[in-house]
Amino acid sequence: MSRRGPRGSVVLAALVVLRAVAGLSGDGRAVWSKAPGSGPVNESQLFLYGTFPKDFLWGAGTGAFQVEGGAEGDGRGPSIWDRFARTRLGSGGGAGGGSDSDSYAFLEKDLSALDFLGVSFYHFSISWPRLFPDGEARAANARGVRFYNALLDALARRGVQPVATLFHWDLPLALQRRYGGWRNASLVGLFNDYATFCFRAFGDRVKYWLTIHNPYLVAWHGYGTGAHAPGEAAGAAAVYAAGHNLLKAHSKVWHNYNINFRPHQKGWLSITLGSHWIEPNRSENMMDIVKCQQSMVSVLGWFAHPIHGEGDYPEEMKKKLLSILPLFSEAEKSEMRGTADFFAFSFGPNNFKPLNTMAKMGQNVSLNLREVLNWIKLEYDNPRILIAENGWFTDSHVKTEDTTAIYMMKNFLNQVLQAIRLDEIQVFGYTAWSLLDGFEWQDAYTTRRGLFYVDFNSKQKERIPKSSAHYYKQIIRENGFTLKESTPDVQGQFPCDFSWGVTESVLKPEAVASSPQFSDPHLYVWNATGNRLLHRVEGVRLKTRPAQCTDFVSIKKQLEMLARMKVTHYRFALDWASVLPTGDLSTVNRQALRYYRCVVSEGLKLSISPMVTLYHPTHAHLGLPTPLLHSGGWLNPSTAQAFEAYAGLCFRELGDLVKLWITINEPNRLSDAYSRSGNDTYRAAHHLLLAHARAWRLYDRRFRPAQRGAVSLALHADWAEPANPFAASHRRAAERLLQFELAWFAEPLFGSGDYPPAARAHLAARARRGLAGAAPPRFSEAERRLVRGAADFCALNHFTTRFVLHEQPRGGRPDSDRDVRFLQDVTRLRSPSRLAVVPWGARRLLRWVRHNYGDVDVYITANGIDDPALEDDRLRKYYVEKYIQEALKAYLIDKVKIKGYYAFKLTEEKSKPRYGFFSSDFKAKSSIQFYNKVISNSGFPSENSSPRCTQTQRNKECTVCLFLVQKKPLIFLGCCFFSTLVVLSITIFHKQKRKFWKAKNLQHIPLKKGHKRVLS
Amino acid sequence: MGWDEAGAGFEHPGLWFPMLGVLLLGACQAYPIPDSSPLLQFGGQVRQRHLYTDDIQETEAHLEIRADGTVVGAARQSPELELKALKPGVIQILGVKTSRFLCQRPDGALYGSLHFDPEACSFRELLLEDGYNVYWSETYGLPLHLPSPSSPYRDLGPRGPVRFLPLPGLPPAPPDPPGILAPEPPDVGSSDPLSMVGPSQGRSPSYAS
Repeated sequence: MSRRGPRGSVVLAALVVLRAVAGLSGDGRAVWSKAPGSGPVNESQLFLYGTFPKDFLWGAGTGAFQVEGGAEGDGRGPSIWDRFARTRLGSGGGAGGGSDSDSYAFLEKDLSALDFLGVSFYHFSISWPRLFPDGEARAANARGVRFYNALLDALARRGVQPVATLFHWDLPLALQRRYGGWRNASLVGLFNDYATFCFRAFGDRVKYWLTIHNPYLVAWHGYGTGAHAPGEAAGAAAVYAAGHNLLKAHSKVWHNYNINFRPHQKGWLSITLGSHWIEPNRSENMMDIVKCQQSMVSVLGWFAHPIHGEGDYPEEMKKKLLSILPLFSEAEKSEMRGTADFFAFSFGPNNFKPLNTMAKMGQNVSLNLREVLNWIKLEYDNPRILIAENGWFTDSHVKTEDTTAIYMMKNFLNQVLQAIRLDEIQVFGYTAWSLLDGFEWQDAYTTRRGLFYVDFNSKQKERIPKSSAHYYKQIIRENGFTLKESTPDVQGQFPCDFSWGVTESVLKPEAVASSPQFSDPHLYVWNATGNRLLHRVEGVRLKTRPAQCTDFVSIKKQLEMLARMKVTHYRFALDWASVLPTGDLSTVNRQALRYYRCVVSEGLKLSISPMVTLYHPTHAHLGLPTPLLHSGGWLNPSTAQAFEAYAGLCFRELGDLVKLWITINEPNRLSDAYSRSGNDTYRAAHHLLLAHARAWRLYDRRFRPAQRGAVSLALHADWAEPANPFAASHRRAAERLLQFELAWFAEPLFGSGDYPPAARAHLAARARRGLAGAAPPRFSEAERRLVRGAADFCALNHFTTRFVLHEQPRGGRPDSDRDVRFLQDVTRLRSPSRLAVVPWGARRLLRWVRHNYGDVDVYITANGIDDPALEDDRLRKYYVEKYIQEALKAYLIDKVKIKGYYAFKLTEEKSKPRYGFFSSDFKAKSSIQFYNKVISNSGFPSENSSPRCTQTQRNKECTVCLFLVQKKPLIFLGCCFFSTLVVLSITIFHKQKRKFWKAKNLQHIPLKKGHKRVLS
Repeated sequence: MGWDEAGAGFEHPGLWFPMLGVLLLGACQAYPIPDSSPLLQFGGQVRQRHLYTDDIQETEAHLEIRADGTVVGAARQSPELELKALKPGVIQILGVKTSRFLCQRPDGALYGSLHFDPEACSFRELLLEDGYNVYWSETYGLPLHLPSPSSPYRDLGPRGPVRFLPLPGLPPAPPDPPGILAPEPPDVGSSDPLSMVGPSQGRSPSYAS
């Protein structure tokens, strides 16, 4: 907290000098020209769990004019903002109009609010016209002095540090009238007089002084755009003259404090500088980066360069503004330089509005606080930084449930933590802005920025903590972000019979075999010299071989990919409309069934077992046979019967090979497609449930005894968390969403045989309030018997976790009767299609299932993410690892009976989000290897554990098999070569032998006499 | 004695042949040798090609099957076609992007059909010595030629076949590496500048594809 420099060692000093020399303005550019992040799963970009430094200062802030009220009572003079609010904003005069927080009267309530938060400092401002009604520091208003003394004493009693701003925009109106405000250089001396009084009166208790709050806004909007008081649009010269005087006023006050007060008061003094942040339109485009630098320099650099830099305006500004920009003499420069004991920085909405007055230079504004801190570090030699203002606003109708403010704060604060921990930026304190709702300058009372809600029309002006106050309190208590959502990774394995799969959507059956040359019995002659056509030779019929699975090229492709994935199971869907084009059994497409049978049987040869989905509708394609679609689709009860017949056919034709069946994929998404009215949605869902139950009963009765398989339906099962953990309504909304999304189908099957009572109760409550809503159909007793228990396992397609907001009940849209909205937590890792990576959500979902439906077998039948990378898909790898890890925790710790995990999905389509382990042109991505490893380890075993399953052995065998299968031609030719060699060598050997014998025989010729002897 | 010795000499091959047999049988079980199709000279039984022609006097053109079912000659390289053998010399032509088969009406007019009709959509492929191909409707015996730009549906008048050059598709343009495109700038005038709050429609990736 002391000024840097003198205490530093020689080395450090040398380093500082070096940096100062090298670090002339323009270094900040490096922030934009950094190498593009190495992928989305970059440790330095992920949400950082961790704590702030031990002595980090936590605070909340207010501006005097915004909250004090008591305008012209008690001896306070009018300020320029009183006049501006009355004349320009039409509000009954910001302060004192009776519609503010009235801190002057309710000081105790502010102090209680600070107690609630547990802050270490309170950043407030002293009202110049409250102490000196006409601005001139002659006789101070005693009641004003008493007020601030009371505040400071109360803070001291609580151990809360005061951080006092001398000037937060409420210039005494008299000074504006007499001198023309900050355009006039006499303000420099007047401000110094006022400051001297404050140091004298309060400096014994105030250790952190801030002279001026955001001088950029005072000069730019006060004298340039007229958006702030005094509301002058006086041109560039006036703007820069005002800025010049503000700078000089600050410098004078710093020297005054440094010489006259610091020796005995031992405090620190700075000026709060505010800024926006900006990103180049095209990253790595040098022109755009230069423009971004100009934009930052012309706002933050304007004040920061003289004070924190070399004592003069930035070169870019001097070049551009030539005669307009006032000049600093050499003496003034040296007086200006270094007049701040730390860097006080403000980052909030005021620097971003109005958007059209910003110096954007055609680039994109950004809310990245971490990058702007990096810019400050690079430009101003890594100063110690106090964030003197940060936060965002909510609309005025938002009372205490300021959910978006929580996530804005979370986002900003984590960026600060990243800046401290990863970028080594010396941020030593943070001010949440603001403590209370109040007057929001040009927005008057149309926005709210408080951590505490104040009903401006009430008499007592109670300060009610908003959700963001609860959230901030929690962060202060923990001094950062501690990991609570997810427990540490575990080591362990899934059982040996666990099915490790990959999911593919509908396989379009190949209509025509791709290699007809083996099945065409005709002989052709190529008329090579004539018309070059093939001529069939009549009367000749060749022998053909029977049709076989290798006739289908696409199957080979799939098997190659599956073999590479080393999965044990392959989940794919049949195309109902292809198998039964007419919707009934009158026309069965045998060719399609044969194709599917081939997929299954060929897979089994590689010991890849199938999980077959009978019906997989998609957003673009309902997948119903056309006649059924025309007769009303799922709104027609007969579709359920048609489905039963179709399922029966599939069970009969494929059931000997298929042991895992999914009847319908995501009926909860399909029913949404019937969105003309809520009634339609529920009716479609009803018929889907009945269709599934009929198919299950059929299997149970007719096929299970022989086939011994299992049948269920796969639900789209994203987890739901309350967006605002401090609002009971959000917790209820999250549970309600689960009731409508999951329990709607799960409760009839695994539970009572009826729709979840909680959802019914919600709909009834809506109906009582007269909101347009739908009544779900009722199950007849027969239907209830049909449905209840009609599933052998629970199949969940889980992709992400939704953060759920409660929405005020409305009528109208059919999906609105759930009264929920979703919130995207921007601090979380997410995919290009905005799918948040929330692994622990999977475990909570699995626990929820176990809690509600007992010890059912659970299959995760789809789990995956879109990763833009075509080869090195690190996001997918991260996702798969973390989600399997959570599934393992659920299995080992929560005893959820997980039987299988199916990664989503095998291949992706062109120009669609990239969900595939293989690209649309069948190129393998690197996450496959990772998944391979998890499969062969059966999870995440500890290093010294011996493999429990013989699976590894089987895999070893299979590598040999695979080698044999892949190198078949080579082996074949090798064998041919080898046998030829053997035959040849034998032949040669025998020839030699015969020659030898011949020679021997010839040798024996003279012995022919002995022939008799031999024969005898 | 001599016969005895000779017999002993044949004992070795007697051991070798069964072994060889086992080896050979093991190696060539029942699986066909992969990639042995005679059609592979085309680079596969299914070819991804653009059908290019410069027979239309004015201009060069690529055959394009549009999503609305019309068939035109496009000046720019059109989306890929999939040429797949149906039987010797006969192919089907599928527009990959639009999922429509190229088909011909009895009057010779071309259209793109979502449904494959073997009568209307089979074409006989004839290879010419200059590398160009001509195509004839298998059923009607009509040559395949592009409609004239003025009347996209009809192109009457006796004309010979148009020669097409099946060009392999250009390698796809490399996709934009992630992170280069600037993200949407925040809406700083809003209380939700990062557009966090959205509609409640829970989309499922598995329902989208």
